[in-house]
Formats: sequence, structure tokens, C-alpha cells
Amino acid sequence: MTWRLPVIVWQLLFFVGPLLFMIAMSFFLVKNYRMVEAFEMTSWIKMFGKGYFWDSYFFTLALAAWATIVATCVAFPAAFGLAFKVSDGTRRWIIFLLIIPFFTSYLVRTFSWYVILAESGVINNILGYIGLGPYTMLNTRFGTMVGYMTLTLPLVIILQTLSMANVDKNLIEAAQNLGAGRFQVICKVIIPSAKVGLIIGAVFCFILSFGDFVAPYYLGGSKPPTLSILIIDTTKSGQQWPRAAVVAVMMTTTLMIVAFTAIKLAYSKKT
Amino acid sequence: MSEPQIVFENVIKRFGDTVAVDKMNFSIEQGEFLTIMGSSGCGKTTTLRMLAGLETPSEGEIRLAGKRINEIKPSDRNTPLVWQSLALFPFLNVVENVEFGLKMRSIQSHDRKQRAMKWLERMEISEFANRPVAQLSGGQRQRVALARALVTEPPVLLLDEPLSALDANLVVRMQGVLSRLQKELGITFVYVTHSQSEAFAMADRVVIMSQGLIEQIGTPKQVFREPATRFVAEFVGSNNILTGIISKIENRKLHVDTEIGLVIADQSGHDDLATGNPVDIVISADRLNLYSLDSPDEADSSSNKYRCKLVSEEFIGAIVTLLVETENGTELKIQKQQKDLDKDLSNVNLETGQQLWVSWPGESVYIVPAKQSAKFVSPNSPTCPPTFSTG
Repeated sequence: MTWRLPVIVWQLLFFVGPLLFMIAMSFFLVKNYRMVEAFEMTSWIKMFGKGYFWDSYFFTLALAAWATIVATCVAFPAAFGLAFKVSDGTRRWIIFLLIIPFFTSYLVRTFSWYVILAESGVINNILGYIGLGPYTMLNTRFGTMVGYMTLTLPLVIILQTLSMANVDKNLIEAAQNLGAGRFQVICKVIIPSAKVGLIIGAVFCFILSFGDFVAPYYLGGSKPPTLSILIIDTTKSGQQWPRAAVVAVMMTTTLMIVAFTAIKLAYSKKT
Repeated sequence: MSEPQIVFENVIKRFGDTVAVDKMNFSIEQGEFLTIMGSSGCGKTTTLRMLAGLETPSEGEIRLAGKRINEIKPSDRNTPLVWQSLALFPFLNVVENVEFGLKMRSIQSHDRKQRAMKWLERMEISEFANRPVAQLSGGQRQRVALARALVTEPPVLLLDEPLSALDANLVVRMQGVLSRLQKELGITFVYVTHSQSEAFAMADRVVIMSQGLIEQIGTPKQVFREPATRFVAEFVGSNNILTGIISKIENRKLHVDTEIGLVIADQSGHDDLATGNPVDIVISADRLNLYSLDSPDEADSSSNKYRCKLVSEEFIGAIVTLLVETENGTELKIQKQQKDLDKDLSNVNLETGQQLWVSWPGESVYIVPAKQSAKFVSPNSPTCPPTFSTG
């Protein structure tokens, strides 16, 4: 119990405390551009009554869901190759290379996509030579997705690789021995065995994408706004911190539900 | 005359520079219980894996039912393997594990379930059908692994040290289960083990391997009583092995000069041996007799008789293992039934250091010509085998 004390203090101070404060703030009022302590449902009623809030909510949810699907599907073949087709040494090197992107700020990496994706950027220039384009890639959902992948893909690949590299090779051979072809081995043995890692990778991708504002703001053109952009807009215009808190509480709740459900799914046991 | 069910023809398997299996030639008859035995790294598991298609021979040909199978994918053979680790799928329950092979063959769900349940009943574990594998005991899991392998009704079952994780009691029980199963099904079992007791308890024939080579193929009794090479003599049973040179051949008796002195052995079956030939002498530990120094000269004149002193004594149930040392320091091992020992040494109170006679009749000595065993005693052999090898 004594050993747990620092952890509990830490959690109270930096997680539960701010969270409670944020929840409290969502019931505050704003008068003459100043926040006033209160306990009123005003901000909640305002935000829930606005169509644009719900549009933004479901748009963000859909974007994050798409990012999760795309990242999981793109990462899987890469992680599969790393887990089963290369030597242990090569795998270690590639995982190291996958960590390198985290050395630089995500914002910087996002801006470098600007140069690549712009109307007169690298890709359109190359396509121009063979008579294609130019294509508009910035300020589109495609741009947002590129940003999300920049943020999440290396992490998802690493998590998937580690979970698949730990799959018992005997199980794979046992499946082959019992008549499973390559595709069946993947579906019936590797995916169920690596389930926890695959789901945790997806959850991370969802959480990061759902809360990210850089990709939708700079590469997606912030139209329509995601929830994180909505928070920025709300606070910038008229000091509406309580309304921003409502959005934040909704986001946190959503992520909690998603993470909890996913972990439950990941560790669900056969009865 | 049809070919045996499984034929290995000049099969070689290399991993990089290492030769795991070297020029292997042997065949297995339909319905045979064949055990491949050897110490770890001898190539026995590689042999089994080649049969399952999990390894491809570097050279040579493996035929199953007259058909070359070298290139056939593991999933297209019906040669299920029972893994040492069992390799049960932890994310599936018991009956789903058993159904797996049928599912891969696209058999209808209803039929699948029925066949799986039939096997679970046969293995007496049907009550656990819907339990997760992790909740089962070692012996129950073993039965699931067997059911899973046999549910597709294969012509051959491969087993890779399947009992090595079980405790001694359970091993004996599972040996009974396996033997009975093999007889009832009438299919071929190829069983890899390092355990002599497992091999001898179940096998029709035993293949003994060392360093990628087959040392001997024979019935357990042949391998035990008539080891073809010194390696087999050391590996199998509880043998005393002496090295010597034939000094004289007289009345079909070989006189061999060994480290303990002159040993006399029957020449039967070794007409090609001549004076001056190096030979290894194998005397099974249960063929040695002990007598007290003052006992009447019971052993006849042709037998071998040496003075020795008792070094140690060890009881394992009804069997006593004694270690004696001859006058020139060679240790010999003797295994006796407690009651026989009591009879032979009725007037002696055995204690360490006790002086005794050790003797054995000439016909109980088995001769291995040394030329066959030369490579096993070479000083650069990586593992120098001990003089005694216990079962």
C-alpha cells in the first residue's frame, strides 16, 4: 500500500484534479468576457442544442475511425513482414528506424507534408511530368488522413510487430500441419494470437487521431472543424471556456468508452 | 510386393553448414509403431519434421504410400504431429481445437462438431469440450492434442516427445493410452523421444540416431541385447563397456585383453574376427553376478571372474544398482533384483569397501567389432560419452 501512495498522489494531482476542474468549468458562466464560477447547465444546453457541435462530433468520430481502419490495414502487412519475414537483427533495426520520426516534432513533420502535397508541390510536379494533375491534396480529408498517418502509423506498426513477433511459432506450424493454408494461418492463428497488440495499436491510433488538431487544421483546412478545432474556435471567440470544457468532457468521455470497450474486447476470454 | 508405407531414400538435411540428417535410408511399414531415439541434436526431430513437411530435405526422397512427398506443402499432407509443447490454440476452447483440422478441410459445422465430440469421448475428455484449454491438466491437454491430431483420420501420426512435460506416473498411463490407441486404429505411429523407457514400452521397432546418422534399427530387444555399435550400447540400457584386443581364439571362445584383464567371450556370430582385432565388449549390468570371497567356486571355469570392491549401492524399488571397482580401478555396474542379490550374498553384510567377486558367464558377453565404433570414441568427438549409460 505504501508503495502505491506516490502513484495515487500523482494520479490525483495531474489527472483526477484537472479532470474535475474541467468538469466543474463546464458549468461556469461567462459574463462580460469573464468567466464566473457557477453551477448552471447553460453551456451544456447551448452546445447540445447546436447542430454544428453534433456535426463536428460525428465528423471527428468518423475521421478517427477511418484513420484507425486505414492505419491498422496499412500497418498489418508491414508488421507481418517484420514479424515473420526478416531476421531478428533486421527487425531490431527497422523498429529503431520507426522510432526516429518521434525525434522531431509532429508539427514539423506535418509542415513538411505541405511542401510535398501542395498544388505546386513535389508530388504534383512529378505527376506533371507524365501529364497528370495537378491534384488538390491540401485542405482535403485526404490531407487530414496523411497527417493522421504521420502521427500514428509508426506507433501502430511497432505495436503490431511486437505482438506478432511474440506469436508462438509452434502454433503456426501446428495450424499448417492441420491443413491450414497461408491465408487461414493469418486469420485463424496469427490474428487471434496477436489480438491484444492489434487492438491496442488501433486504440492508440483512434485516441491520437480523435484528439489531434494539427492534421485537420493544417492539412485538412479545418473545414468542417473537428472537435479539437472547435475547442480552439470556441475559446478564441468570446472566451467561451465553459463551452470548450463541454466539448472536452464529451471527448474525454468518448475516448474512455472506446478505450474501455476495446481493452475489454482485447482481453475477452473464451468461456 | 508393394513398397512400405514410408520410405526415406538417401535423405540429407543441411542447415547452413551443419548436417542435421545424413544419408538416411529406412522404411516404415503400415501400422507400425516406430520410435526414433537419440540424444538432443541427433536429427530425430528433423526427421519427423521432414515427414510432416515442416522441413524440406536438401537431398534424397521421402515417399509416403509410394508417392514422393518432398515438395508437398505441410497443409496438403495428412500427417498430423503431436507437438512436445502440444501447441494447442489458447484462443480456442477444447472442442474448437479438435475441430480445427476439419474446419481447414471445409467440413460442415454440424459434421465437424460430431466428429470432434466422438474423439473427445474416445479420449474420455468430452466433459471438458467447452472449457478453455488453459483450465485443463497436463494429461487432459495431452488427450486434446491427440484428439486434434487424429480427428482427420490420418494414415500416419507423428509424435515429437509428447510425454516429456508430464510427471512420471502420467507418462506410464499415457504410454498405455498411446499403445492401445495405435493398435485399435491400426495406423502408423512415428514417435520421437530421448527416453529409452518410452521407446521400449511402446515401439515395435526402434531407430537409434546419433549425429545425423542411423546407428541401429531393430526391435527394442535387439537394440537392447545386441547393440550394433558402441554408441548404441552406451545409449541404450545399462551396459558395461570394455575395450580390448583379441589375443587368442580357442574353441570358438575369444580371449580379449581389456582394461580389467582377460575376458572370455563366445565367438558366435563373429566368425570374421581374428587375433589382433580391436573389439568392444558389452556386458549388460543385469548379467553380472556378485559373490562373497569365501563362497564356494560356483562360477564355472570358462566364466569371467574378477576381484572387486563395492563402491556404492542404490535402491530403486525392487532393483538394486551396485557400483564396484576392479583391482585396477575400472568401475562396473551391476543391476540385480533385491531377492536375487540376497540369495547370492546371503552370508555377507554389504557395506562400502567390501571385497567381493564379480563374474559373468561367457555367453552373456556381447562383442562389437571396434571398426564400426571407431568414430564414436575418437578424441575430437564433441561429447565424450560416459562409460556407463543408465536407462
